[in-house]
Amino acid sequence: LHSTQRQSRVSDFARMLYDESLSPVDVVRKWRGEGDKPAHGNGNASESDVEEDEKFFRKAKRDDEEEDLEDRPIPRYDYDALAKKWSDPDNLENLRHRFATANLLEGRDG
Amino acid sequence: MATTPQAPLRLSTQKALAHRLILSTLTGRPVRFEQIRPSSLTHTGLAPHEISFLRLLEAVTNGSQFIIGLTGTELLYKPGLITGSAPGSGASGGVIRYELPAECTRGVSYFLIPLCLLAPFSKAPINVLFTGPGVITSATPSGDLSADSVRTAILPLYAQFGISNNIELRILRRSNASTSGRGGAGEVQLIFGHQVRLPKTVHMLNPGRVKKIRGVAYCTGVSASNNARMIEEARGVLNPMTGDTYIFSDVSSAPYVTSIDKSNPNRRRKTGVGFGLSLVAESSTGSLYSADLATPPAGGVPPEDLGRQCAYQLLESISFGGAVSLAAAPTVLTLMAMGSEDVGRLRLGKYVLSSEPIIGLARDLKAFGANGWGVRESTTGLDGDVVVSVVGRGVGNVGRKIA
Repeated sequence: LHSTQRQSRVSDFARMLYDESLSPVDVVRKWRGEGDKPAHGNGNASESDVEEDEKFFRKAKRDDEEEDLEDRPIPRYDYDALAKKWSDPDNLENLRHRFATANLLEGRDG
Repeated sequence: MATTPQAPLRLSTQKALAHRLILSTLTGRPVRFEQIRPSSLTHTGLAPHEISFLRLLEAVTNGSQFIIGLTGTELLYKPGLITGSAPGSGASGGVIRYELPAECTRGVSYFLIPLCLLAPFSKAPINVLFTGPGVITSATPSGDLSADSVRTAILPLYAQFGISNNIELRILRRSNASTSGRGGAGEVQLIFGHQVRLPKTVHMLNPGRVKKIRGVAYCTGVSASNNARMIEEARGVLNPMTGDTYIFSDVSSAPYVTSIDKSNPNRRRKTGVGFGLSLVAESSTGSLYSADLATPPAGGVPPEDLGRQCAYQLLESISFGGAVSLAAAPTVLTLMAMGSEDVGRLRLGKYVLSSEPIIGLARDLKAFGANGWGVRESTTGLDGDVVVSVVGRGVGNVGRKIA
């Protein structure tokens, strides 16, 4: 039952990918906002409030917009959050299957 | 090229300007940019690094034209033929000396990565020496990769497309961003001597497992102990994951630039003091994941923090999954789109695919006449990766008729 949900998500994305009525930022927000994982520490509940505010006061966030339009090959990371995430042994264990040091004989809990 | 002139493609804002110019040059489609920072109070219009990039394009092509509007917020670009460093087009001895002005705030990778995309389709080999007071070889706060990462994480990807001979990136003089964030007076030479008719169709479906991590810790004009401290901390984070970690240490003195002060023209001052770390994880199938971090221009970050943060960034990049990392995806996807008219497949992490620059790239490619991507769930692996199918456009190299 898990896979059917995922399948629809990817096709959702394929549909939105070339939908010119949505800006790339909107696509990212819509697709990731489905509870897959909050994009770098933005809580879902508070985000919708902020979003509404931003819609209302459109002119105000001009400086932020400028910043967003610049190209960044390396995204802006919140290093405190990253430090917390990667000092947790559970997270490291979950990543271990991506490394050659992983024990392949032990089954992984999918 | 002798077809009827096409109407320029209209694009707005400065977003992905360099990459869009590259697509325009590769496809031969003129392009018109509007609304380049129209509402910025301090930096209206094109920024210095964008102007520099335009001049670089002019240097490696023949017959390119660009017209910049009076306010700098509009730009019309008509691409010419990609000639590379052919004699008689500004190159002396096969080398184009390209000087970056001191106002440049972006790292040299801002110029290197797009230039590498043009290079396989060039008529003659590309050999450009980046010099001048604006060359920053380190990572920058504006999110640029360091020149080391370009060398170790971007250039090896070209081998997958059958482009592997005589490619070299020499970092002749290192530099961090200077205290104001502008310029650094480093020196970098890019030699890209493998020109092809069409890049090979690739199928990168197996990301493999990370088997080794390599890195370069660099410091310019500061104590070498900074390198040791960065390496120590980075290894502390990475050692539990893999035993094969080796980080090189490169120490150099800070570059000098001549003083702007007219009263004392002989006085030279140091720029580009700082340190940084570039880490690259390589998987068993040749996938590369990179992380980059350098001291901010204002300084004040201990090397321990920097080393640790860079290692965390690397782990994060590996955790995104896929056969290609976020920093390298635009290069790979563009080369695939420029390949022969055949379906190439690429496995990407969900997070990478659904990032803003990649969505923007998908739309740009379509706007420039490439085929749309097919996106489907990856059937192998449990990571929830996505397979992107890209049909090449078969543009190829105009200067190279014979396969």
